[in-house]
Amino acid sequence: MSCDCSNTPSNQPPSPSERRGVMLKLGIGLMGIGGAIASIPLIGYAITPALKKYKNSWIDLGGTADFPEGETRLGKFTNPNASPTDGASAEQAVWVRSYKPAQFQVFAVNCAHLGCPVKWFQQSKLFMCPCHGGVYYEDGSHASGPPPRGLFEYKWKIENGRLLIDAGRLPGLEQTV
Amino acid sequence: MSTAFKNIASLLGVIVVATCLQACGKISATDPDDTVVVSLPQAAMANYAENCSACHGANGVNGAARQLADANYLASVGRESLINITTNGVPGGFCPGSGPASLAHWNPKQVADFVDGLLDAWGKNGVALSIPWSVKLSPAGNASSGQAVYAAACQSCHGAPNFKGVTAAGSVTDPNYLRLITDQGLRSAILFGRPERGMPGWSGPFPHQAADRKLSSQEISDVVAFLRSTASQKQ
Amino acid sequence: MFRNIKMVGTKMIGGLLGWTESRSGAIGFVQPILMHRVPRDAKWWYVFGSASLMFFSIQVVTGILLATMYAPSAAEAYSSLQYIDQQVPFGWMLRALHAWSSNAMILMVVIHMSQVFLHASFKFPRELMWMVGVLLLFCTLALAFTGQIMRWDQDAYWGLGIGAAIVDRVPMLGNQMRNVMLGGPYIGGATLSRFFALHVFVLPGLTIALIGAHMALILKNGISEMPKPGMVVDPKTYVVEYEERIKKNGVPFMPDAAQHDMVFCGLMLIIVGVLAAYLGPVGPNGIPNPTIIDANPRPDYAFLWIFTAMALMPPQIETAVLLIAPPIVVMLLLGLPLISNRGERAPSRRPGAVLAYVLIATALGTLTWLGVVSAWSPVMDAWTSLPTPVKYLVGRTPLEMQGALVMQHSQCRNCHSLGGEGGLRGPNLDNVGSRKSWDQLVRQVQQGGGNMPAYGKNLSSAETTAVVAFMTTLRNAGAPESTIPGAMERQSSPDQAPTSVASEAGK
Repeated sequence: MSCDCSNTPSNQPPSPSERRGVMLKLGIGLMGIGGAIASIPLIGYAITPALKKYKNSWIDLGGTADFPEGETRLGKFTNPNASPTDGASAEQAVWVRSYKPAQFQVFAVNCAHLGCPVKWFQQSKLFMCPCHGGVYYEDGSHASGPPPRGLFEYKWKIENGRLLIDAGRLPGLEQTV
Repeated sequence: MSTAFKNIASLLGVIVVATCLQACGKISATDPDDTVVVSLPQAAMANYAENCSACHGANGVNGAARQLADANYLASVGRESLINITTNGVPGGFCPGSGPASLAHWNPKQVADFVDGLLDAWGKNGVALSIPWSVKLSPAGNASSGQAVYAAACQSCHGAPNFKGVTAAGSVTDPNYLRLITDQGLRSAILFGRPERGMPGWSGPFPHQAADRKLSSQEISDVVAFLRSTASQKQ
Repeated sequence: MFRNIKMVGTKMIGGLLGWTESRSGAIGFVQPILMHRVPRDAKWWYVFGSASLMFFSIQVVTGILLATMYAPSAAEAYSSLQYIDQQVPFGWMLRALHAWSSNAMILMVVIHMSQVFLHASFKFPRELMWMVGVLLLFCTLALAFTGQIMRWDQDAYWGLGIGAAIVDRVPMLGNQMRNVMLGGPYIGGATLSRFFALHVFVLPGLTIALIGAHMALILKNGISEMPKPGMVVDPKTYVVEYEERIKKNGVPFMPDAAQHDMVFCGLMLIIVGVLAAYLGPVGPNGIPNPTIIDANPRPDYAFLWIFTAMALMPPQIETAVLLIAPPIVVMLLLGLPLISNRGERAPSRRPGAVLAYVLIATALGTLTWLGVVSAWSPVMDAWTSLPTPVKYLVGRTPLEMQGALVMQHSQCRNCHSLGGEGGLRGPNLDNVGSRKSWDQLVRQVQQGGGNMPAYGKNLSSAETTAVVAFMTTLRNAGAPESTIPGAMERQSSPDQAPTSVASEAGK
């Protein structure tokens, strides 16, 4: 579109439009640079959890005697990564199966399908998931339903008669525990 | 809700007893009036319905497992043992109890409240048996004496040992049955019967027997020993 | 005397109004909006957009009020909700209103969108209105999902777990994305804070901006007329023709069309208010403590269809569908007016579109209904709480009675129903004795199969025998026992000799 400039007073200094062009470019440039600098901390702040490496730590689940042989019991611990505002959600649970003296399997309570809490049934020796019906055998292997794999297992060790597990992250398919 | 529930349950009870009377033929069930349904107090009722009713039946009668709405049974077993059974379940049996490794995770107070609720609702005017109910407190059994007792007291309904055909009340010498029931289970079944199924308890009366004939503690132990021996004889 | 006062009063009010108007231009700004001309036939079909807006306004008001009492901290959220419900006057009613009006808003948005789709109002020149509308739909759903998190109960906690598990399936970046979503490596305080910021700042702000755009586009392009068969949209001529028709037959929005909106909105408001008062607040449903593993998480209604899809999809394609389907759905929805921006608008001339709508609506409705029933979920407490139907215990042998106990004890009924009670995951067992023979039942119990776990290792031979013996008695009246030709007569084998079980009961 062409500008109808006939009404523009001719005796005005010619500078405004010229200066405006320069100023505008300068303004856009300065805003851009400033914005880019300012957005680094903003974006960094927002995606911190993606950049930070979260480590597991060895957590004490209790004495080995708390997990009698031949039984599968719920072990509870407080998340080592917990923050002060977590409240009850800092509490975490795992299923501990002792199948031989001093031999354990420590399973995440989270179903390998979509993370709902599986429940252990001592009588039928099955873990059942209340959400989509995933079922696992006592050794954590997949028995039926949609889960793509068996239950997630934690690393464990025994120190001074205490059962320790390597925990801290929510288990998932990409990064198991 | 609870009254409607009660009505339906008692109606069911009456229907079942009536059906049982017809179906069992020569076995006479106890008077239908004895199976009047009593509801537990609310808290105990909720716990019972959630954790016990699957096997012991709604309102403590007509389940696959022992009838609990039985005043004489509750009186004979006693509060202490009831608390023990409720907590630890029945070792070797199917009842998982409410302990740490089982279904409900009740604390001791919850268990005691529950048992008191049971006794309050279903244990009124119960008379404890004059002979011990527990296997641990009863004399050791003698299988060969038990055979005669079985023939006299049990055979007319349950059939001769290892008899494969149809009997009025079904075989109790089936080896698989005997593998699934404990000695205590057998003793309790003989002592307290299964009134809702038409099986008389210790106080009888048994069919084809004098009304006042009662088994002694020794005789019951003998029958249990005999039943166990029928299974091992087969080998 | 009175007349004088009245005159002075009128004069004063008039003066005040004039002063305000001369300084603000408010009336001049609002009047053309209120009086913009709309088609004469814009009546009851056109009320759903307004109703969506009304419910959104209620959400804003109740939401702000709730935010004055709610503690957005994982440690305190749950108890602050209980405090609002129990201690604050009308607190429960505010929570109920916020919850039910959100459901109503989703419903209105969906109906509004259905109407626009079926009447093809998205065609030229209203493509952008549709696209903004689609974005508003996503905002509404996102508000609903994040709102569900605000309850910070078991459903919220495990709902987040499901969301996290889905995001986690993204290849390569999944774990990082999940951590961003949760604000850390697990569900906790940071998660609630994040979702709180989304729910009360980001999403409402976005929604308000989009609503503004949606309205501006209404004023720019006008409300579409009721579709008539044969009245074809041609981008070359449509605008001129529409302007002419509106000039000739149009009516001002206020009051001609607005009165319908007001009647409908008023009715809806009363219904939702009564509903909220009657049904009360939704949740919170149980402390979000992940060590309480008796949770039975369910999403809110709007997301039940996703929950169902997760259960019914073949596991092999699940990850692919989860990652590929959402972008395709978004693209299709946004791109719809670009795919088809001209031609017939009447549903009777667009059988394909109507068919597609019916299919999608039926699918979503069915999936939601299946989600309510959730037949695939085991009934976790069935084995202890559902008595064996009394009729199945009459006249059974002692072995069969033990079999009935085995059936309860082995949690069979968590997945199988008996007498209409129990899980729906497996077939009901009421008539199983006439469907399967003794040998087939033994094999099914021992080896499982057809989505049933194998019980071979967990049941003794006596237990298997007993439960099979019991199951063979489960037959409809008159149905014969199922036999397979040449099946061996049942007999106890010598290796199944019983062992004496020492009793410790009741010591």
